[in-house]
Amino acid sequence: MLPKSYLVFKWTVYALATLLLFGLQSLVLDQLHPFGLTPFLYPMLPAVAAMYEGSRRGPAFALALGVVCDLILSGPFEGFFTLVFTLIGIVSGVVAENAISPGFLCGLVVSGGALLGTAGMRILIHALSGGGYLALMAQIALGETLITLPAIVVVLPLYRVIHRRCASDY
Amino acid sequence: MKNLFTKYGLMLLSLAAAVAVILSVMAFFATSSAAFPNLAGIIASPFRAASAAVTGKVGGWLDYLTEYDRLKEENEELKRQIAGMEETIRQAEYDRDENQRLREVAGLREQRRELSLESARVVKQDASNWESLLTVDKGTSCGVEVGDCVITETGCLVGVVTEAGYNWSTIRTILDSESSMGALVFRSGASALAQGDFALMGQGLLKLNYMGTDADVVSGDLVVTSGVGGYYPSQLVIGYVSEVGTGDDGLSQYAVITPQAEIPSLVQVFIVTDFTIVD
Repeated sequence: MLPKSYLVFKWTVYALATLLLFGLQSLVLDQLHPFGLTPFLYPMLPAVAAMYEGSRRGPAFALALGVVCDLILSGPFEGFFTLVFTLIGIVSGVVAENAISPGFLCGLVVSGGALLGTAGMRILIHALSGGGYLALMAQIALGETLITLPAIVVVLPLYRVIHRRCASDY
Repeated sequence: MKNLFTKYGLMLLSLAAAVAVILSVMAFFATSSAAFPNLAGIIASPFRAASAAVTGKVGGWLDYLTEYDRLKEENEELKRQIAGMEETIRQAEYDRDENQRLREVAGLREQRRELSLESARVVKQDASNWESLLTVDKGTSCGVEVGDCVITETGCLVGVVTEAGYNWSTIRTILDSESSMGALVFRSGASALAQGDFALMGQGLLKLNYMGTDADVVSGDLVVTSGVGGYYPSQLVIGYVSEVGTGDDGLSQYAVITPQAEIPSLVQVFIVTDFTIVD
């Protein structure tokens, strides 16, 4: 297999897996409301992908995912997910390369960071625009992170299989 | 960690910032929905419809299994309500005739209330913890525009269209913390502002603010849209007052409203594409 076609194949499989996880969010997670909150899977995806793919390819995937999320989701401003997910991709890639080796623990750390980071950015924008209820928002951010983190048992194996299979093929 | 922001990382962040700026500029200048989000919405439409169909079907089965007794009781209660309402309708018909006669005697204009409605199916309940949005399967191709009001089949206010694509629209519900609308307490005529509140959004409630100190509002009062400014139709039911309190300043009053529309379980809504109201 040529490198270029290999890359196309790999990222196509990543895209299909991500589409599957989008389906998981809208068909399953959106219907669940543990403790009155809804799990929010999307920030976990660029974090886990970048953990496996590193700080060069990971952020590029995160950027593309951010653009898609900006087109289909509503954020505090247009381009919010593009910016935040790219940042998540860079940080997750660097953490996996320099601090914690890719695996369950690293996945948990970068996913938790991604979820808290995304919610934190929302709160920061809300605070900068003069909004109130910051303590309540922080509680929601923490709750959202805690109820979403268990979804790592689905995201992590799925992306790991793609990463390993594509790496071994090449 | 020293290479956290390498040249490559900074380049990608700059690219992300550029994309964000482009998306913002496109959204700012677009009269309906910007081109890319519109296209994404069109592509996502069949998936949303399929997803809504599947969740609707599964939800229906679950309801049948778990809520049969409750639905049976509700059915009995609704039958009793209908019996009561039939009596009210008979009285209203008598009152309407009398009102018409008196208007003719007094030489007043006839009251008119015409709403052009577009039926739409809810294809996505945006269950985010931060906003309260709905996506429906009708858009600019059916005359839907940003700012159109959205109601239920019984005329209860659901929200306002904030984004309109070719065959889809996003509705910001009255529960959303950015939602705000002129309102009236039906019994006393006290005017106020019905606003979504972040602390109440999760409980499915909203707030009635700017009522003044001596506003006549009690628990159980019906709250409707005021229609001030002609931007939204008047007399659309927002909900009932469930609590009255005093603001942090100790002077102003506020009320908590329980919306009449059951927003989390909506399947079909009606978009008010045009309206004529003569009071």
